[in-house]
Amino acid sequence: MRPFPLVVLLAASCGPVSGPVRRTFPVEVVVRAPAGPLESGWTVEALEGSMAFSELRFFEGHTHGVSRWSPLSLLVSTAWAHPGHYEPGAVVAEVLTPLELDLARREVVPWATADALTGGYGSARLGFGASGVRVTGTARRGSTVVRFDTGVVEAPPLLEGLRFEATLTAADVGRVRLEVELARLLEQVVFDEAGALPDVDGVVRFTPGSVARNGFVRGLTNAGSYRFTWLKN
Amino acid sequence: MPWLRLLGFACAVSAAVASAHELEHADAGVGTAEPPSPAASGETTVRERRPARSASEVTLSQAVVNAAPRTSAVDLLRLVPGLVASQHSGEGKAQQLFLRGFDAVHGQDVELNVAGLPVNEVSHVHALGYADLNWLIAEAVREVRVTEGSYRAAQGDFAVAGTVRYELGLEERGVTVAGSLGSFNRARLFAGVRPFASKETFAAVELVRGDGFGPQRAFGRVSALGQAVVPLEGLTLRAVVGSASGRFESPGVVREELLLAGRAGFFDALGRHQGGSSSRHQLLLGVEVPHGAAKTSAEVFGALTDLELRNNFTGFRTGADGDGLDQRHANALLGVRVEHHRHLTLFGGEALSLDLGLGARRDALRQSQRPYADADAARGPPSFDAQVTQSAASTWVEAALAPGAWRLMLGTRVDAVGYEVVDALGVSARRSAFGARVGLKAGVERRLGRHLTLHANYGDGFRSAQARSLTDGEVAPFITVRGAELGGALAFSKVVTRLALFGAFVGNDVFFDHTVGTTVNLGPSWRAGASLVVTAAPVAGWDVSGSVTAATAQVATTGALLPYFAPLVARLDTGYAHGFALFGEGLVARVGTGLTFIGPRPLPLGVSSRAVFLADVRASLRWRAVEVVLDAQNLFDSQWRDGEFVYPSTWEPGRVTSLLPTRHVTAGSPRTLLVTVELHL
Repeated sequence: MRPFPLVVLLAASCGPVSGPVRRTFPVEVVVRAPAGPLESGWTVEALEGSMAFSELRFFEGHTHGVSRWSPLSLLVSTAWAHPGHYEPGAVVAEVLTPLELDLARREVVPWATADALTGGYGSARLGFGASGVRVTGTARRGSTVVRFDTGVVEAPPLLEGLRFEATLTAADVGRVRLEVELARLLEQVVFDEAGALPDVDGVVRFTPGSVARNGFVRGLTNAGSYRFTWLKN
Repeated sequence: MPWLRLLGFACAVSAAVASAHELEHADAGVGTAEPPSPAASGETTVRERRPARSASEVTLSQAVVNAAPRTSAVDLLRLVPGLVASQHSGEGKAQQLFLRGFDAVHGQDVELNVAGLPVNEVSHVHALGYADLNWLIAEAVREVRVTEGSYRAAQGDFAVAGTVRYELGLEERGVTVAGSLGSFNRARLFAGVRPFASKETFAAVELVRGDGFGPQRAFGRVSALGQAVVPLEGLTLRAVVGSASGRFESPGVVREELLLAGRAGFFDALGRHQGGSSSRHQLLLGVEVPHGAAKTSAEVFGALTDLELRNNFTGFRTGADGDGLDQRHANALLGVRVEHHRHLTLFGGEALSLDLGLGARRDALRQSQRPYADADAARGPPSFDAQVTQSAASTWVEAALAPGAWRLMLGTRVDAVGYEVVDALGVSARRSAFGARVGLKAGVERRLGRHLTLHANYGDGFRSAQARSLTDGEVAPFITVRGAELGGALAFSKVVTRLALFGAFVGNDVFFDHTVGTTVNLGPSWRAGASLVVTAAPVAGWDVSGSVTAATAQVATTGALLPYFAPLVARLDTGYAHGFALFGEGLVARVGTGLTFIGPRPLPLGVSSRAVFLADVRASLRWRAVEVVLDAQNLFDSQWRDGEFVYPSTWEPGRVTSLLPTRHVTAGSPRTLLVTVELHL
């Protein structure tokens, strides 16, 4: 006689549960220095400074910039009337450990292990720490040389809608790398219109409300300054 | 004023009872103070109170109902084999039900009926099929008729996992007055009168209040319930009236991380102002006319129900004011049901049993939902505010042929539902939709000897749609379950054993997580399982009802388990009554217990809930007209989790907390003692 179906049923009740399951993965950060002149023509070097992160969360919702190409888009284009259509949806992973990033370092820095779920990833949200962001360095264009100091800039607490598309299963082994692109961070800074004369040390300091500082804040809040990738081990 | 309305209903009940009394044959013994002998009060044999047409049709007697403590509706629901009832939002809100692999939420998959009065509410603001049974007085339950699955043509909307019908009646003739005091300042007054030999004509009132076993758990309710069954020449009249009103607080959930970190206690309430109030007023008038080999019955019924409910399951996830939802729902139900049963003799002399039914109901409801602030319960603008008229009509037929030891049953049921939604906020202010469906029922029985009957059944069950989810002109969908069952009943004079293997397929299943208000389309899903039910009366005065149900529920395409269903449920209710003499006085002692085991349930994210074992005991001693009853629930004082849910929340605004889904728990009741003094006059 074969085993009674009850046994089979109880065994079947021990299968995987519908939907995502918990997993973890490491998150690391690397600062990318500009490989050449910025689009503005300035060449920046001797970059130092710090950037404080408070948290990193990943969401299931996709940003508009990463919607997949569809043949339908040839016929019907998508109109975005105004910002705000981004629906982040549920959190699928998060790092709640703060990180003080030394912008002078070029090697990969481990951040923390993310608590995560399996499933689809569409976007990320970066939280900046209270100690803000500061970059110092030298900018050259032609014969003009500017030693600059952005000063401590309070970034907006949260930067939403950053691109990160992935589908993670429980079996995927790898890590998420966040690359901070200093070139994107500084490309909108007009170094010779910094709005302030060099101080006694010959350093141009970005005063609040100055054109240079506004350009730096725009770079800081530019989603393109941060690139997330899933790296398989 | 609910009290005035209650008084009015109580007068109506009294008048109906008095009227029935006048029509009853003169019958001595009303008001006797002599305790009924155990043999007289309990059955000495297990009698089938209705013919079972599937292996899982079970009828539980009043002796089983009274065996263990029954202090709330949860205790009446736990009688049902395989059913898990979770009281996660205080003593006043409908329970969350789990049966046969289904998470029925607050009633969407279990049809509940009390003496012909439907309990499930269509298109309810809180959850589809919302079935609040808190108004039902435990002492007034004469019989519990359980029809698991959906294999009978008379089973209607929400009979997906099964149908439970409570029949009414008081056990003891005369007047019974009882007062109870117990843990957490629980106090209860009960008064009931049963004037005749028949249990069915009675009136009862219950007034109960308590502080609850932790903060935000106070409650109070009053319920009046009566039934008059009046046999006349050639027909029987029946009236059921009921009126109930209550207020309850709700502690909501506790996030497990806070619990483990010591930042919240097991019985804490994180969200303020949760709870609400409810009322229900109902009336059923019926007539039953036997004529020859046929019987026709007609019932009209109505119910006015109200619910005001404040819930906050997610804390401050969406805003600093909190995520609280204030839901309001008021419904006026009017319905009619006509049934005709007759026996025909076919050409070969074989008997054909025929059941025909017609039913209709109209629900006129008003519902709204608004956010409310955690700090002061101030309400925000409504997210929806709608007036719904939902009209349903149904007809069914069930024919059974019984050649020799066989019984072949074939039935069908047609249901149509029309919806009209007047949206006070929507751009499209008025929407209407309509849908209809046909379902099949079939069964084969085979008697093998005197004791064994084998059953094979098939049936389509369904639940209607949520009105506010429909668009104008839409063909209203039904969630349809196709279920089958194989099993048998082994019946001896003192014990009946029923074994059933069941399976159910849902083609377009949806999972509604009412804690966060999300609905997930699952596609096809299936459930399967087995149940074993034993009812016995081994000796005079000893009644036993035990059951074990195992089930699984999976998404058909992936094989993944559905969350929250109960894979293993076991329940034992047993009571023993014994009469003896002490110092020349006749005494009756009763002891009983209700044991519940709920195996770990699958939760989202691959985790499981904890297993639950609960032991309730009851002991009483009766001397003449006085009976003292001691009830102890959760005798071993286990710290158990009544509900476990997995979803994201934030309970500490201003603090960086995880937004990943995590486990939340609702505390089960600790050991609760209740002493009752009853006077039987």
